[in-house]
Amino acid sequence: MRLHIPTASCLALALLLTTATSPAQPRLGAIRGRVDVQRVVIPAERRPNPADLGTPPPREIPDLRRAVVYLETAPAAALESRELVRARMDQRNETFLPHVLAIDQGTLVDFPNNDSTYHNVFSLSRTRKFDLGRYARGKSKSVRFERAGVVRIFCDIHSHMSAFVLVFSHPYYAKAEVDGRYRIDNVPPGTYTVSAWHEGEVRETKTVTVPPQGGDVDLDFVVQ
Amino acid sequence: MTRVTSSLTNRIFLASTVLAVLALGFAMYFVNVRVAAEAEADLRRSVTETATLIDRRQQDLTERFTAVAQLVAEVPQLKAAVDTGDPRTVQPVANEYLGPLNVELYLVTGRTGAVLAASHPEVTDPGATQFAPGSVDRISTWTTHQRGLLQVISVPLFIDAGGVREVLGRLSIGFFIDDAVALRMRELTGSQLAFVADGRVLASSLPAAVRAGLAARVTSGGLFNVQLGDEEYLALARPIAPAGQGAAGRTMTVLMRSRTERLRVLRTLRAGLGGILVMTVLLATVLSYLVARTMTRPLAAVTSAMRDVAATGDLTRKVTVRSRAWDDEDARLLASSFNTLTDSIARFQREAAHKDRLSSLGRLSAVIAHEIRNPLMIIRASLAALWREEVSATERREALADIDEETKRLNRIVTEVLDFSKPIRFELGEVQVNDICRASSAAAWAGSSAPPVQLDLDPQIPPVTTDGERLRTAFVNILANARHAVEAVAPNGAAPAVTLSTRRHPDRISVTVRDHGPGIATEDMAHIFDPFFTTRRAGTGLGLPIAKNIIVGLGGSLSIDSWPDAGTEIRIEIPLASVEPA
Repeated sequence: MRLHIPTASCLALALLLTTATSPAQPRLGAIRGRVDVQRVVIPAERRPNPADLGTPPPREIPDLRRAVVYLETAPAAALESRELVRARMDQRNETFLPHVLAIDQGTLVDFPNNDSTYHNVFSLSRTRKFDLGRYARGKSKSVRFERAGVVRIFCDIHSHMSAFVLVFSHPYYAKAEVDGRYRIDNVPPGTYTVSAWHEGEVRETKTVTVPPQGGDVDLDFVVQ
Repeated sequence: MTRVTSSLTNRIFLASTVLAVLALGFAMYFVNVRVAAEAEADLRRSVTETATLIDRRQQDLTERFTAVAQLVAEVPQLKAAVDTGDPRTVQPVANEYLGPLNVELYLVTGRTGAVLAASHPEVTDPGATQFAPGSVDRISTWTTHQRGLLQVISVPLFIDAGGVREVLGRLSIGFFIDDAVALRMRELTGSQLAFVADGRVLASSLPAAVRAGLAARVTSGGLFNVQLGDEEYLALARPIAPAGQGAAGRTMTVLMRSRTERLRVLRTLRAGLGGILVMTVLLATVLSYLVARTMTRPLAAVTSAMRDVAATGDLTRKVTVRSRAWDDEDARLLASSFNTLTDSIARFQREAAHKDRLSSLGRLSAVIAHEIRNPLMIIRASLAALWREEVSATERREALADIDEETKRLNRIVTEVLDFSKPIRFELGEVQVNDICRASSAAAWAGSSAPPVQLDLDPQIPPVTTDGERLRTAFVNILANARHAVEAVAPNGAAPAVTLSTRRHPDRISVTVRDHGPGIATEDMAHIFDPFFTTRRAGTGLGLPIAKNIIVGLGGSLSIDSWPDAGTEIRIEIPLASVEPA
């Protein structure tokens, strides 16, 4: 797996200096569009589990269709300090919910176990290596993600469980809705490289220019 | 052949030997054919069975390693590690899970095929990178390796996120099929094993020296025979996997079972039967000899007794058959019957001789009585004439002359009877047969008016060792008969009718007396040698029997031919040298 996010964050820092001379109070624009995830998604049979025999809960397949769109180069506004928030990644029906979590750098993510079985949360990703150990239903453990990058989350009991946490050093990112629509607001005018990430990889990268008068810029992605 | 089979011993021996040889021959043939066929069938069966076993084992191994690979590929830690794409992260995790499983060789590759972990640092490409990255196929492939054959099983490392199979990388594990594996299989199956590809033996339980010979023979699958070193094998070659699976399509599993070893049993069997055959023939020889002896021993005793009886005429000779438990009952019966037979013959002979003596005595007595009575009557008549008062001198002289003549005649009868009845004692000496012939004819013709005997004497006749006096008596008797015969025909003595001839032969002399008298009546021929048989009133009937007694006693022979009204010929043969009978 290739890690693009850390390099992107470094680049964002470099760009910051170049855009420092922009006029004060510029009109902010927005990048919006649709990410069409065409990668074949086959609803597969669930792995049999003795615990839920007879009542297989439906999987939230649309969740898998959701991509994350972000700016590879961040404007100076990225340095604005933002209040730290908590994020949450649930564990239900042997699935991490949401499947993809996009968060700001420094965010504390809770991993509550709302399933009927024990779960474990661990990651071997270089961005954030951790192992919360196994814990029972109703318990929750948290991890703070200090560095920007992609962290892949696994459960060492259920090998089919995995999730992504994308940690950004700037706020210019958006997680697409189930129908593929996304919107990145408050983008200062300028030309940007925008990437569409889906399931561990940047699938498509495009360049877009937000005009000085601001306004919405349409940018659609197709993920093959 | 006839001589060989004419003996009972040989026949019994031949019969039992032929029986033994035939029986064992058939047994050997049967065993040979059946056991050989059975061994061959068994060999084929065992080869096929073993091949199935090997195939099964191969399949099991493949399944097992596939299961191991799949199991390890499911380990979340490994997935998480591979997802990082960082070899330093992956290697410890791979070691942790694959190490305890005794996997000989493994390789973990990432999404792009980059090596993330390996069992040995030098292992980089066990054939795994040829798989398309992102493929979710389970792949079993084979490659040739310097250690032998390497089977590689490759499974994808993926996360099944609700239908989307996200392939993180691949786990490939390999295991070798090398000489050690082949040897282990040989221990399990008892069959030699070889893996051959492209004319090269990759791994085998065979010694290295004979591998090249095998490799050359393996061209296609199927059963074939192969001679490796001293052993002949039945071999079965089969592709190790269906065609198209890398090197496996060309690699043959060759399974060999030693026919030589299988036939060793047959050879032992043959040797055993051969030994039994020899022993049986020997035993048959001994037994048949012993059995035949129970028959031949009594027979030999009977035969030798018969020979003795024939040679000696001793009918008292008995067959001594010792009663042995094993002797043949028939032969013993024969022996005792022979003994009974000789006893009977001896008894009949005694009785016959007795009867003969009695009848001879009776006839002799009658003849003698008759012969004596005539002279006695004449003497009594003469005596009666002499008793008379007036007897003339002439009458007296005539009466006395009659008495004298008759007493002479009585005396002659008594002499001849005595001569005939007492055993003759010969006095042998050298004599001239021709001289005896002359003297005899003169004596026989004394006082006769008949013409003298015509003599036809062979001057070559040598002196003969015989009894001259007796011979002369015999000749005189015969010539006297001849004279009487011719006198009966021509009383006046008109023609010379008797000839006497002598001839010399290499070992004997023949004397022939031929007369031209009336001949002998056919009915009388049977009795001419009987004593006292005569056709003349004055004859005693002893002349010819006496002559025959003498001739036979001297070792000669006497035969008579007679033609009625034409005469008689008597032929006498005497040896050059007579021997005194013992």
